[in-house]
Amino acid sequence: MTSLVYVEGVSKSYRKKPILNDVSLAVEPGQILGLVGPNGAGKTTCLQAILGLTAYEGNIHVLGHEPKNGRHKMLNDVAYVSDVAVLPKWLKVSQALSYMQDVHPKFDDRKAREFLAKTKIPPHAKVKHLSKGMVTQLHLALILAIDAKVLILDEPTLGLDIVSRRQFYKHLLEDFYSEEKAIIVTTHQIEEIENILTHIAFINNGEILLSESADYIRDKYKLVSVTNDKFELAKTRKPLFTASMMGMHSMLFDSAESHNLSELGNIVTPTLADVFVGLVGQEAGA
Amino acid sequence: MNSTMIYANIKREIWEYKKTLIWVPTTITLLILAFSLLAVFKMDAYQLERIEEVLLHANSANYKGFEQMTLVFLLPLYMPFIVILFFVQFSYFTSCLFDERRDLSVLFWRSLPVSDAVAIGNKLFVGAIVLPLIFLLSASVLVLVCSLLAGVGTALFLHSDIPVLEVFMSANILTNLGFICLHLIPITLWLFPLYAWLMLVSMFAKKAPLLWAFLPVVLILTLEYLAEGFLHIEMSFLSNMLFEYFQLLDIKGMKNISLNMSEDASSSGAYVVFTTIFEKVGVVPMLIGCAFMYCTYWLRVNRSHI
Repeated sequence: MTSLVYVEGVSKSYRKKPILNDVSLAVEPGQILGLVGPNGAGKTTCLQAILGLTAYEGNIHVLGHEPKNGRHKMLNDVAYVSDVAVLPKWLKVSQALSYMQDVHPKFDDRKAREFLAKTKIPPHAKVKHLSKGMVTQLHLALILAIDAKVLILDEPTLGLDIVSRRQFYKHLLEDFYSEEKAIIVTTHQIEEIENILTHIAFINNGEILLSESADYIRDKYKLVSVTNDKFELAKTRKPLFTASMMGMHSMLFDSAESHNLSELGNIVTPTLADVFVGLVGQEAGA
Repeated sequence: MNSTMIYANIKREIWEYKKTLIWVPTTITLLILAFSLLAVFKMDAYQLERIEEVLLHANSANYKGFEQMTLVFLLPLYMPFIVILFFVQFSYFTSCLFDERRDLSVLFWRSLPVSDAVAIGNKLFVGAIVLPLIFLLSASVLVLVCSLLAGVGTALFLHSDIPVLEVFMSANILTNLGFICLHLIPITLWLFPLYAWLMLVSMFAKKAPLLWAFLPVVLILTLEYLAEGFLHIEMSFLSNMLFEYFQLLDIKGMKNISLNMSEDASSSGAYVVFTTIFEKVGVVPMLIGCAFMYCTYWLRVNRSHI
């Protein structure tokens, strides 16, 4: 098994309500997997199960560790950013560096300080005195200084402005990513990161709707701009999703199931957001 | 688990609870020192004469009596620290696991390679051992400073030629501090079920952990009281058990502890207290404490993020 992260048939319920239902995923070295889903889809629970932070049924192996039992050993090689708000308010920047140096065997203090030197974060400031963007930068500095094999990001840029969001992902690619490592990221702003994702898993109501490479998904699904006169014909081809605006209809098709799409109108490659909306809409209508 | 990990987590607790662990004892020390100095400067002439009279009688032959007199004056300086320590410990144990869940920082701490057992064990160690040590150390610093000031002040203002500083320093303050610190072991074991209960409450409560610390106990005691008062059923099991376990006031040998502190350890009041508290430590309370700690651990592992 070459997968860095291997998830098989994972389920979880809370107060008899299913949160995850038979989730299976595999993440190989070099992959950047986007776990995409609406609010309450089970993204965070899925990540927490992978990290051993919550109980689950099924099999999970991360770098050969079972998160249920070997969580703290596994975390030597797995870094996790859950949300920018989780750094404690009382913590000073210097204290964060000192603590990480003491408890994490793969933390590089020099690397973290070099990263922080590029920012405007004062070394002795408390987290509560930093802006939200600065807290994210601090958290990122702590995480990027870890020589981890797997990085798990749960809505890491939530609430940040566009500049901070772009900076975050730029640093992620430049300072962390390599062919031997893997990143799993959940985000609502899929448009912003779809060009860096190598693989995507769509999750809804605790179930994985689709888990494929980004290239495969772009090849498989096609977005067709259909005029009014071809609209009825197009509907017979069972589009996954239709959006109508000013006499034009954008229809998403599974190219494997619908042929001769060119006769319906102009074909473009859909964004991952288009595919996601189409798949979720199809599931809701089913 | 290595020593660096333990040290790092103790440091972390001290950073987080700096106000409680550092500033509270420092403030008490400074306040007592300030009030003591104020009291000395406001002494009347006849009081100074009395002190001079006592010192004139203090020679190498009756150092022993003088040492005991010194201790009678100095040891009560520990009392404010011990009383406040109790409240500070209570506050620490009820908030140490609650605070990190409330501000969601538990997600950050648990994303690091520190096991839940180490994290909880460290918090117990800080609350039960480190915190009392900091308070006792502060109290001892205060006692030493007071001794020095008293010695210097007496030498300067009372014009006596006796070696006052030597007399004060011979009061075996450090030895007695050692005895007091030694008491931490039986006290920690004795109060372990209480500490464990408070940590469980800190882990369990979604709101108001202080209230949760008292509420179940008060509820059960009230039910026992009602059952006994109205239904005439003998049900005061918990109240009797708690009263017996935490009752220390009528322990034999509790009296005259201070006066006997500098005597031979085997016969001193300190030794009696040491052994008496040890007698309070039992298998059942320890098992109850362990059960509470396991529940705390289980909740942190399985319910930290709900």
